[in-house]
This record gives sequence, structure tokens and C-alpha cells, in this order.
Amino acid sequence: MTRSRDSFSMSHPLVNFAFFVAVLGMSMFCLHPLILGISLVSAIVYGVVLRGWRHMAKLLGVFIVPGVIVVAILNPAFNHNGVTLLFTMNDGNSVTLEAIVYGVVLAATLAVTTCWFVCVNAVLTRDKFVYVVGRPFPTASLILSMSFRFIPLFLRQFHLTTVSQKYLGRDMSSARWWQKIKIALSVTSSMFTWSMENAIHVSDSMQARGYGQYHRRRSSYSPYRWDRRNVVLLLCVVVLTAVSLTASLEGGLAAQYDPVIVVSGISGASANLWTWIGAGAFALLANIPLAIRCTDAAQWRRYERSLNVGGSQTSTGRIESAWR
Amino acid sequence: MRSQADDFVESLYGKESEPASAPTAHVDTEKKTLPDPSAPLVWCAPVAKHRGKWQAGVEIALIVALFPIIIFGEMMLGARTTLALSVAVVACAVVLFMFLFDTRHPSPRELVVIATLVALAVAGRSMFFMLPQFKPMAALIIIAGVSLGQETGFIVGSLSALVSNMFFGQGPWTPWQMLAFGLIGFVAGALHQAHLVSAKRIPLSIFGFLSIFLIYGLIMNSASLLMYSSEITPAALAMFYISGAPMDLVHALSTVLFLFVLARPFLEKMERLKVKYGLV
Repeated sequence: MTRSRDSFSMSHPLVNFAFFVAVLGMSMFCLHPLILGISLVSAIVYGVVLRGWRHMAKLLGVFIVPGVIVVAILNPAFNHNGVTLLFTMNDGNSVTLEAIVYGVVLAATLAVTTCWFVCVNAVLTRDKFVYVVGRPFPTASLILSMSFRFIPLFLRQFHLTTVSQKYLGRDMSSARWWQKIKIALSVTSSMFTWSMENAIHVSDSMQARGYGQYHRRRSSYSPYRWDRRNVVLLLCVVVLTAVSLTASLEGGLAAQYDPVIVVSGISGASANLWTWIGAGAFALLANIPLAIRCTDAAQWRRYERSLNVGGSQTSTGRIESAWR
Repeated sequence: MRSQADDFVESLYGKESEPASAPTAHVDTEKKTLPDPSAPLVWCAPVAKHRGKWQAGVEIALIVALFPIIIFGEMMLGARTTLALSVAVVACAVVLFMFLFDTRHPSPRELVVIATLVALAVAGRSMFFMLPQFKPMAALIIIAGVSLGQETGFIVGSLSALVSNMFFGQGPWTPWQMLAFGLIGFVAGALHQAHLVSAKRIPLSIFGFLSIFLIYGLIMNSASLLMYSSEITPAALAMFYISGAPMDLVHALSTVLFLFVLARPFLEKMERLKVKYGLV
């Protein structure tokens, strides 16, 4: 329910892709703690908005926290560089503060990317993938959409085949295990033949309808419209990414952990103007979806109130329940 | 040689149409379907041209160049730059393969057979989804590469990785998996064409086992090394390899099992399709 009302999910797929590429790229390649912290908070909030807090809490508890601990512990075991020696292990290798900090930072990137991919999986649905792949590679996107159709078809055919085998006396559920394997194999074999014959029929049908004749002139249907809102959104994404990239090129978001920790604004180097500009631009960038969602919700409430002036209380209530 | 019966039939049904009219009708249809030299015919689409030698050369150069570029980047630059560089190289490799495939204008038969193989691989994975890493994807990709050639093998492999991640969740591993599965299909096809791996049960099973450890394992473990390790050394890579070994072993053994059981019947069926319908 919440997913269908998410304004960012309803914008053009190219905008969605550009946003995720920008945010994931910045969080994976820029190891500045400020950027990572902003990214983590925005990803968790947007993930909670999209999938609910239960899902995010489960993900954090089951996957992210153990993964983070493993990465944070393993790094000092292999990285012995750094000037601040904490202690020496039995085998003569030293454990340094720099290596531990570096491990924690890398673990943070693991958490950040995992959280962002929750949003990616919710926003970038299959039809959007087919559309975006279809712009440069029409044949590849055709294969993608055909296989999306074939998967449920094959699973259904698999079920039909097992049922018909059952009434031929080959019942999977009551057979012994070697007979089960034998039945499964015969079902798989007939499935493969059936699906390949099906492929031949489909391709003959495509050829009869003239597929592949006019490579240049053929267009494909898409339900997405490129309108002014999308232009504005894409411009926001591009400009904010450019600003934060410039900031990191100017040294405002420099982060070095090996052999000395030099993080602008935190230790080793003082924060300059570019640090704040870069972090601010990235914070705006990462919260674009939430901002659109909030402004849309506010606008909806304003419309609702304007309806309420003329209409009765019940009609608004009905609209509200329809949208919930 | 007219008989009374003929006269009778004629009186009943009227005069029979002249047999001489048949050739004129034939001429008519020929006129109708005369090919316009500027516009291609719809009814007999030409079979897609086989790729030129330069395309195969580009593909092989790409794969050969891939690993030295990553290793060179690793030596020259810091850890994160290596990651950025290798993600770029992986994306370029997959995109170039897709581009070469697209410019070839593959025939509908080829397209639908590839889509079917991708769907079978993903449907197979979804049937065993409760068993981690126990999946028939690599086995089907190897069968596709052996029977349909290296390029189709790559396309089947990389698209099955993409499609299965759309069902089971995308992640930072998607481009790496696309490259790894694509390479498994490509190498299977290339080795089969070079007569190094014959299309028999035992050699294919051995290849399947090795491909999981040497191709899939190498690429995926290097990916996690690049992403989550601060120190990129052979020792660290070996550590990632060892920690991932049980999962890789399950994956490799399942591939061997599926190849051992399915390779012969599936390859025979593909061969029959190729003979019967002139596939590829």
C-alpha cells in the first residue's frame, strides 16, 4: 500500500536509476564518516518508509550487524599498517588503531549499501529494469521480459506435468526416494522438451508477425512519461551529485586511514568550506525521495482540507479511506 | 475422353473451371510477393548473420584484458580506486557483450531459446531456494554454452544472474555475478569449440566443478575482497576463499550433480532441436 503511494517510485525510471547510482557510488567510494553517517540514516529512514520498520529491524539484526562485526574484526587481522600500535599478537603481527578504524569504516559501507539495496529492490521493479535496459539494448530487454513471462508459465507447466504423471501411476508423494528421483527426472525431461518446443512456436509466431524486419523503426511500449517534474528531479540529482563530487575533488571530503588517519573535519585535517558544502549537498541528495514524499503528502492534505470546506464530513472520510 | 457421367456432373454443378487457369493464378501470386529491393520481405526473414572474426577477437581480448587491468589498478592505486576501476571494468565487459549481441540482430529463434534457458535456470533456482547455494543455474548455463556456442553462453549466464537477482534481491554483487555466470557459459562454449571439453557426462562434470571454484569463486571472492577489505593481498584473498569454501563447495557439488544427471538428455534434446528446426 505504502509502496504504490511512494512519489519517488512513481517518477521516471531513468530518474530512479540516476539517483541510486549517485547515492550508491558516493557511499561506496567516499569513505568519509560524515557521508557514511548521512547515507546510513537516510537509507534506513527511506527503507522504513518503503518496507516498514519490522523488515528493516529484521534485516539489521539478521544480516547487517553480524556482517559488520565480521568485517570490522577481520580487517585488523590482515592490515598491519598504521602508526598507532595498540598491541602485538602472538605471531608477531601488530594490531594498530588505524587498521581497526579502517575496518569499522568498511563495515559501515557494507551496512550502508545493504540498506540502500532494500530501497533499490522496492523502487526498481522489473518493468523499470526492462525499460532501462531496453533503451540501449532492445534485444536484451526483450529476452528479460520474455523470461519474466516464461518463469510462471514453466512453474505452472511443471505442476501440470507432475499431476498428469501422478495419474499415470507415478505419484511423487507416495514413492520411495529413488523412485521420487526417477519421477522428478522424467518430469524435468518432459518439461525441457515442452519448453523448447514452446520456444520454437513463439519464435515462429514472432517471425510470422514480422519481428526483426525493421530494427531502426521498431519502437516499444512504455507506460512512463518524461515530463517537467522528472526534468526537475533529474536536474536536482545531477547538480547535487556534481557539487558533492567537486567537494571531494577539492579535498573537502578527503579520508585516509592508512598509515595515518587523515579525515577532514574530524582528525588530522581541519574542516574547510568544501567539507560542509559536500556533506550538505549529499544530505540533500540522499533525502530527495523523502522530501518528495513529504511535499506530496502535505499537498494532498491541503487538497483534502479544501474539499472539506465545500463537502460533507463523510465524503472526505471515504476519500481518506480509499487512499489509505 | 468425356463420359456420360461427366456430362451428368456438369449438368448438376455447371461447367468445371479450366485447369489452364491454375498457372495464371500462380503468376498472380508471384507478382504479389515480388520482393521490393528497398524493403525486406516480412515472410522470409533472413537468418541472422554469424558474427565476424573480429567480434570473436574483441570478446577474447576483452576477457584477456580484464584481469591484468584490475591487478594493475590494484598495484598502482589505493584500495577504493581499485574497487571503482574494477566495477567500471566489469560493467564495461557486460555492456560490451550485450552490445555485440545486440548489433548482431539475433533471429527470433535464438532470442526465444535464450529467454527459455534463462527462465529454466531461474525457475530451477526457485525450486531449490530453501537450500542455500544448491542451484542448477551453472549447470544449465554450461549446457547452453556447450550446445549454442560461447557468445550465447555468456548472454544466458549474465541474464540468468540478473533475472534471478530480480526475484531474490539485487545487491552490490549483481554485476559481479553477471560477469561470473556469463564467463562460465563463455568458457564452457570456448573450451568445447577448442575440443578441450567434450560434450560428455564426466568431462562436463569436472568442468562444472572447476568452473565454480576457479571462475565463480575467484570473481565473487575478489569482489568481496575489494569491497570489504582494506588490505588487498594474496593472503587476504586466500582468507576470503577459505571462508567462502563451504558455500562454494555446495554450489560446485550441486552443479556436478545436475550436470551428471541432466547433461546427456538436455544436450541430446538441444541437438534434436538444432537438427529439426535449424537452430543457430
